[in-house]
Amino acid sequence: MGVTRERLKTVGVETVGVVASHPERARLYYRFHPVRVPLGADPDLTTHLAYGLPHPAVTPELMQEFATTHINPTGDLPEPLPVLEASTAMARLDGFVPSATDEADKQRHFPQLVGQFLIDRDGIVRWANVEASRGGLAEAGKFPSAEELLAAVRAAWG
Amino acid sequence: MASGLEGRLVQVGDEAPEFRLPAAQGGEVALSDYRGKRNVVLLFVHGAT
Repeated sequence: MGVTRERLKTVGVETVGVVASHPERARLYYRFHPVRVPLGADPDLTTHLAYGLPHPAVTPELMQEFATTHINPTGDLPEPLPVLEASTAMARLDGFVPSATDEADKQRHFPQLVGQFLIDRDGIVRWANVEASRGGLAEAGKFPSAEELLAAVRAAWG
Repeated sequence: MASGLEGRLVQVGDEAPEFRLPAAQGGEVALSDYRGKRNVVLLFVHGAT
């Protein structure tokens, strides 16, 4: 996120994050993932809801899809893993041990999806991207690259 | 993907919903902090698990 922030800043765009964690857990977690962007902690998903980010209904079909879709979104895992196992394995790679609160939040938030929005200084949305909206669950956890975000900025403002 | 509990997805051209949240770095962060000053990329990221 830091690299993305620096590149966006060169074209006059600030980066702001929102994470679905309690503030104290977010502070602890981001000792493992140092970030230099303002990061709002929203354990109740009120911001996700306000932006209309998908929270798919949990059905047997969805659970089957979660179990059978293997991902390696950052390429850091030795091999692609089922979606839920992948998120746990990635946290483990970082040396982060989830607390009971973290696990409870994970269960409570499941299967909240995330997204990204480009917002101009007048508060108008100029570009939006929603996780897994194009490639389905196989794209879960994938984050737009700095190049993709810069392309969105160029498309919005030339 | 079938939708469940979410509201209407914010679309290009919509006014971005305001938020004010406690920040992981301490203090607060609000979209309105940037209003009239800077363009912003708002990144929702997965939580600490």
